[in-house]
Amino acid sequence: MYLRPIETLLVEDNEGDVLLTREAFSEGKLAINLNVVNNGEDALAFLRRQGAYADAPRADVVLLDLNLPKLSGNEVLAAIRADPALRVTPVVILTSSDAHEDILKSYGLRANCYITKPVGLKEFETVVRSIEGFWFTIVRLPSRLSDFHAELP
Amino acid sequence: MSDDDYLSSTFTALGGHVTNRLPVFLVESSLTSESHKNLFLVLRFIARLASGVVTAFGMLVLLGGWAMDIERLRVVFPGFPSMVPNTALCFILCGLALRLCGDDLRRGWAVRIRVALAGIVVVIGFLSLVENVLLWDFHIDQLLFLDTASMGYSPGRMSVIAAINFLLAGSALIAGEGRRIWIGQIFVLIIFVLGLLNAVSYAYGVRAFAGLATYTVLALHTSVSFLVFSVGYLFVRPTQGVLVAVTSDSPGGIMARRLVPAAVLVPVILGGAWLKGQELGWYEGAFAFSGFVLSSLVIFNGLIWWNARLLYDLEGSRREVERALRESEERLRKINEELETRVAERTAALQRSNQELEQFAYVASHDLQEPLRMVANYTQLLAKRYQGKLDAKADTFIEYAVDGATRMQTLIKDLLSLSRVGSRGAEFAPTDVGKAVRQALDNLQMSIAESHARIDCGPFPTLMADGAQLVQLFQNLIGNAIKYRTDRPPAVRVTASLNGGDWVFEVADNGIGFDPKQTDRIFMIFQRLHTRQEFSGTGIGLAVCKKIVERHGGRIWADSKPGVGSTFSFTIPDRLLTKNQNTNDVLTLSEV
Repeated sequence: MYLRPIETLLVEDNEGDVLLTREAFSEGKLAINLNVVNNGEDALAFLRRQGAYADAPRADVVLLDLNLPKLSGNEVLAAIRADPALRVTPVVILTSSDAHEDILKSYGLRANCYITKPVGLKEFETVVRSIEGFWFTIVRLPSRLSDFHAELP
Repeated sequence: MSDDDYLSSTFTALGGHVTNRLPVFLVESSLTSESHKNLFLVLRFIARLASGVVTAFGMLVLLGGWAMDIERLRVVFPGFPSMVPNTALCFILCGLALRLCGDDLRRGWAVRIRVALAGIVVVIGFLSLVENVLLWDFHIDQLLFLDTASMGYSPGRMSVIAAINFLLAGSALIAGEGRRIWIGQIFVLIIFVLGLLNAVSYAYGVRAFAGLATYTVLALHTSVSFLVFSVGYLFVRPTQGVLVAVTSDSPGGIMARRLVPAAVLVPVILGGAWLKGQELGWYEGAFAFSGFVLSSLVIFNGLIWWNARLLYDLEGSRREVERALRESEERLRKINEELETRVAERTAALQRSNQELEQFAYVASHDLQEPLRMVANYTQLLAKRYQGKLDAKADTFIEYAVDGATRMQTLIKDLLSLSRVGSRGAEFAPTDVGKAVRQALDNLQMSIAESHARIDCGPFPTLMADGAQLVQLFQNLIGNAIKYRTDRPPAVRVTASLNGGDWVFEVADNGIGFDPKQTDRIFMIFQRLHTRQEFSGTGIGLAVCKKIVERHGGRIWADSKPGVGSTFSFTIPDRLLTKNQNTNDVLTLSEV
């Protein structure tokens, strides 16, 4: 269990989905700080701590929608992977598309996993629980390595 | 311009072309062929007349001249040579045989009689010739009548030229049939020339035949009869042999018909005229001859010029017609091209709008899902968070909202799959149907387990198909078989059999069945036989099945007995079988 809350960046333009995700995470037991941006440009600005996001925390995991205004999800993903400071950040694609070409393209751009938003509340909650249980609990996150080192001395 | 306007104007243009141009040409040619038919009728009539005349002359001379001893009938003019009895007999035979020559008289008996008559003529002609040349006497000359008045050395004997002519005439009458007709016609032309020589001599006033002319001596009516006979023989079959070139509808035929009578008559008349002038003492023999040559020259050149002029005009109008024909062909070609371009444009537009429609259906159902997901999720969230916290009515309202949203989601999902059949279909590839059925059963695992269904399958062939769509097809049909079940556990049998060039697949169940009268309705989109309370569903599943089967070039139908079960059948053409003839490969059946 990490010491500080897990910083999650949710890139999602649909406020309904944002609220739904927030609600689902709030029902969980983990301390999760859900940061939300509504478009691709803001997502990159947040990750790079530019402009209005100069004081933003470092994101542990990015939950990325594909269908976004300004910069598409895949463009954001490509920019993350091209940026030496960001390229290790795990990116989970969370989208309503189940098109094969979208899935292949995302993995081609080295998304860490691809999840189609399920239809139905129960199913959606299951997905959020799984993200929690896997990405925030089991997985060792690159951004957390320094924390361990900091603790050791 | 609407499609109908365009089409009708195009057809008017086509029709206009037909009525304005072609018929002129057609009417002309049909007129000529009509007058041509008349020409043949006239020629055949002349031929019959000729046979009658020849027979009558022979009869007249034989019966009147010899039997009744009328001198005038034997010699025509006093002092002229007489027609001997054998000659008269031969003319009777020739005339009768000629009458039997027509194209309409090809029956066995007519031919046999003709050949028999002509045979007698040949024999008489031949014997007479031998008599004349070898100076033998077969005692045939006075067989019929005694010739007491003859001037010749052998009384009652026909002349060399008559003998030759009858030999030729008889042979022509026997041989003149089909491909050998030209032999007969040439024989007859020789007869005509020899007869003409004699007739012209008489016409020019020759009284006594001396020197070489002795051999050509014929009675006046004998030479005329030969002329009539040869004309009749030539005209009896106007469409065959050498006559074709003369009677044909071609410019050559027209020219020949104009020139031949002139070529026969002009020299004869001119010769007679110049001879008459000489007899009257206007000039001497050599001048008469040069005058004859010169006048012939002038008249024939005039005739030739006239004909050339006619042919020139004919050719001109022919070229005019050809040009018009080419022009109209060109116009037709252009209209055709235009039409094809239009059709291509319209096809492209249609394909585009079809694609747009499918794209629209896809996008609409895809984008509709997004807000609907919101409605569904939040009503469900409402239900979850506030169930029991509001009053009972609120719970019911929420329940209805959730149910409506869920149903609409299913509807959109099904519509999406229907629009995908056409727009997202894959190319046909060799597909193991058994594998597709297995996949479908995998997808139905849950409902199979829940309902304790027993499914018997196969064997199945491999055929050209869209594998993913086959999976969907079987999944829908088997899914229905399980869904519409009675209290018994469902038993489904999936089979394939080859019928002609089609594979027939059957999905038979022991379910609730349906009224066979409803068969057509069940494949229509949104058509359902049950209320939602009885069975859930959108009424799209079988429409999807139909679309998939039709995309594969097959057809789908259903039979049922209510309460006993239903059988859904569909066909898929056996494209592999026709593609490569190796039936062993194709008929390899796979067991599920």
